[in-house]
Amino acid sequence: MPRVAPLRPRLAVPLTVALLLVGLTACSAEPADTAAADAADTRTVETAYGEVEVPTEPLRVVAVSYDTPWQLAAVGVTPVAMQDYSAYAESFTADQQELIADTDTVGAFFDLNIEAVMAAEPDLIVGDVLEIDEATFDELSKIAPTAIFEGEYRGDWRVIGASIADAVGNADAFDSAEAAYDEELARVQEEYADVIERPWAAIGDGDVEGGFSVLYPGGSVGALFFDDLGATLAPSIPEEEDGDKGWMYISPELTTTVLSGAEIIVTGANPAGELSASLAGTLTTPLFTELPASASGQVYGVWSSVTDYGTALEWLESVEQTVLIPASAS
Amino acid sequence: MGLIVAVVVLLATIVGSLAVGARYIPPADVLRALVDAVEGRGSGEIHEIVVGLRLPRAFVGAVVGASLGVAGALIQALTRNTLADPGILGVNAGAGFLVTVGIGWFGVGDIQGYVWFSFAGAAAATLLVFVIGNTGPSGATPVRLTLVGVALGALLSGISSMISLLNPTVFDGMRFWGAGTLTSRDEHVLWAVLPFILIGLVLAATVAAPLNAIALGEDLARSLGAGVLRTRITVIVAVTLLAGAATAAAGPIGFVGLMVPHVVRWFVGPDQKWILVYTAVCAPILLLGADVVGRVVVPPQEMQVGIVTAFIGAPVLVYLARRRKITGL
Amino acid sequence: MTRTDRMGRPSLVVRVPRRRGLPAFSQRIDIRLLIVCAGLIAATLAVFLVALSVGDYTIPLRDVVATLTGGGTPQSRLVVGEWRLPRALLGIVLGVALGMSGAVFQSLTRNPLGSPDIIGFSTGAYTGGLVVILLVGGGYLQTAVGAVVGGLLTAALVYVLAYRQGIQGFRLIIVGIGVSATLASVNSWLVTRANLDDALQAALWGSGSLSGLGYTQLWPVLGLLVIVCPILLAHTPALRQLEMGDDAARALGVRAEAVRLSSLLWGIVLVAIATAAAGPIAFIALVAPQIARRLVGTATLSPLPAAFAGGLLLLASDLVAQRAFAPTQLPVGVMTVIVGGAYFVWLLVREGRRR
Repeated sequence: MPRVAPLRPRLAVPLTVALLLVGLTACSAEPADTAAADAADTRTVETAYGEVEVPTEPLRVVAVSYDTPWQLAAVGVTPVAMQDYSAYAESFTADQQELIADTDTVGAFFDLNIEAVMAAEPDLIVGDVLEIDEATFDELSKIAPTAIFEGEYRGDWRVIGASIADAVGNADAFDSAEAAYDEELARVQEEYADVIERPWAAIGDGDVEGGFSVLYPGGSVGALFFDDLGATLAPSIPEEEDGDKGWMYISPELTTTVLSGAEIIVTGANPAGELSASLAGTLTTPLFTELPASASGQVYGVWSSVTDYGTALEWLESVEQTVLIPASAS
Repeated sequence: MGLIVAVVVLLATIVGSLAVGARYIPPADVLRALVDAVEGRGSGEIHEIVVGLRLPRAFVGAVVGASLGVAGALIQALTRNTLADPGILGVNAGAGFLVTVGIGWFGVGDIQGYVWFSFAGAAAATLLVFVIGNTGPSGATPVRLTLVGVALGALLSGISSMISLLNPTVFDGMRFWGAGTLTSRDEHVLWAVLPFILIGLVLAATVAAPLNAIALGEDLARSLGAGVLRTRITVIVAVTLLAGAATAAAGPIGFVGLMVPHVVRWFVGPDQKWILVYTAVCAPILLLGADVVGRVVVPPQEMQVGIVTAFIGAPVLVYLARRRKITGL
Repeated sequence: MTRTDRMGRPSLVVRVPRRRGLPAFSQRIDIRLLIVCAGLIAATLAVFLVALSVGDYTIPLRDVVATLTGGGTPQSRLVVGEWRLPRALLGIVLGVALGMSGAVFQSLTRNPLGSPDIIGFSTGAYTGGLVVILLVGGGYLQTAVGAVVGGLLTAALVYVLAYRQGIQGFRLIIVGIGVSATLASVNSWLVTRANLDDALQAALWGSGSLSGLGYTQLWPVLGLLVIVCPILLAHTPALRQLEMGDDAARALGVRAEAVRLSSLLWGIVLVAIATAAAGPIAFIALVAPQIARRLVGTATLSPLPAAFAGGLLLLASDLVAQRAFAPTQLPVGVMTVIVGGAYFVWLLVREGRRR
């Protein structure tokens, strides 16, 4: 007769754990009351999901998409809650890091914690359509007026930023930030016209050690260098083939073929100017160091996470300091 | 004989891996670069690509391929499970787990560091699997080892994923290591793990005959003098050395260790000696061949070897499974 | 009415005498099976109540119960009734579907590692979902449809390729491995070529998530399961006989190929439902039957305990994924592997110590 394994110990563990948990939660504190709906002044804004009544002067704004907090900060509104960026703190500027450290969180990229949104007691919720679909919009609307916006393409911070500024009633701040940026841009383009005319290449992380990717105009970083600044794309860079994502991986074997035509090479970096480990490695490979740009010391790392006109202005300043001034000297 | 054909194909594949790549280099130039390298001179772009990139890659591909193949054949003989691959005893999961810990807690950032953590993790995981698996009424039976391996492997890989998701430095580091690639800027890595691979291959050779005996049944095997427990331990040590070293050098590469032993067995029969020898030759053919294909199929990018291997190998596997009168384990 | 059956396992025999219009009814029920199922259900209920209570708002048990019975504050009605309740119920229900499906697949393939992925379903579902997310740019519903279509096409392909005058278990596994591996490559390739946002969205969907799911998903899932589960359970006696070998089963009057095909089909439907609702959730279908087997102490197919174990496992994993590193949330697919793997290891260790 086969011996059958004892049952009691095996079920006991999950049952005990479960009962302990029940006991603990049964004796927990009372929840706070939800903020009573305020009968303050409201206005109507046009959002991606229809018209929404938003308070004229919102006091507690919660940002539920990745770029939203900076777009709010750029027009003078400090959100009371945002996504959890603590794990990526190093890729943000000092000002942004201060804001991150001080604010409550409501989940992560593509993983919104709706209870935390409610716990933040917002009177306005702001985001963009990339992460907030209609079903989520419906649930968020049960907590507070929710304004979700979309641009002409994903990550279109100019259009989305303008809509957000309008929704919180600070459209003027947005316009003046835009004007300031355009003015600076015009000045830089005139002063460094000869540097800008040289062939440039913008590269990013590759998918293998020693590899890299090329960034194209129209991509989020490429648009800054090639569309805004107007840098000339080096002729040796191959045509964009993979749709219009704005970047393409390149095999390490083609380092010389693709990058030899560039006199200036720019890469992304964190605000401290450090490159990612893999990119730093690529820059030291024998094939890369033999490139004309590398040999003449014209490979530069620039922080380029632009999400609004405030950070755009910072980017422009750092490009001038890090790239344009040294490049004019050589 | 079939073996000679296989070896010839392998040599051709190696030559192909030197001559073919994302950057087109005429064969004459390839030859000249190799000759120059032998004579100790040579520089410039062509030299860098052929000798600096492709030569180590071919070497790594051949050695790692043979390791994974033989490890796979041993694991299938040990566990008698069709689904068994070298990772089933937790080798990949253990390696990944300790690499995650290394990046997250010890700040390891370079390939050298990854290698030792990877190896240590693979060894520790396999040891743990054996220790747990060897308890119980019948000891380390194939079924029990498989289940313990899967359970522990899942647990470790789950924890690695969790750490990756919580810590972006780890996520970034794992992104490269976790992809499985033959490109390594530092060939010292391969020299470092080569001794372990050689020991593993030697152990594999010694264990072929006892495995044949065990396949006849445990009691019969004992009466033939093949110590069952001793054989199992030797197999596990060999698999750990082979798969652990291969993973340490090239990151986790799947499918080769799973597919090649099956296919080889359908052609050469159940004798482990022939299975191991043919697998050691044919697995590198698959891996290197996949690597070469990956370099030319989507210019100017490269498709990673882990992706191409299954893409090429799997249809072949399915085709053969339909055509031949195949045998189970 | 308790007696011991031939194997020495105590069982309960229920006899209902003949009544007007109804024939006499007699059924033997294994007592240990009953205890295990009851225990699992009790544990599930406990975890269920916890899941409804904890979160960014800790809602005391009495309010939870009040809300469930129709009362409660507006806040608890929103938080518990609208958000937590459907998510917890879905966790249980999807876990049940996956556990039962896994038990059937392990019995069919006679391999303890047999899971719906053997037939290539999960990888094919992931491919279908990726195609929608990355190439078509669709939302939740389109992704669900894409996943189911991808999974079913793949399963059909594997079946057709493996069919040679019937399905031999070994060939099915080999072909399944081959097709799965090819699709896994396709998946990796699609992801590497995608935008970062798309890739992240695909990765999060691909690890399975109950986040954001509500009544819109719960009612269809429940409705379908109420139909499919009894059908699959009805196959149990025939499947148990198939485990003894095709010839032995045929001698007992079982049509082997028809039973195999039918159980495969309904098993896949269960996994399709789960994948459509929450994305591919790994490991439950593999480990729930193994846990059930060790609790019940029998080596043969036990779909009911496997189902309940699956429900408990998924619910518990979702809870841990949400709260363990609060405020950071982890995908439930990562937790199922950790929680399920840990419990499985523990069971195996205990099994080993008992000599």
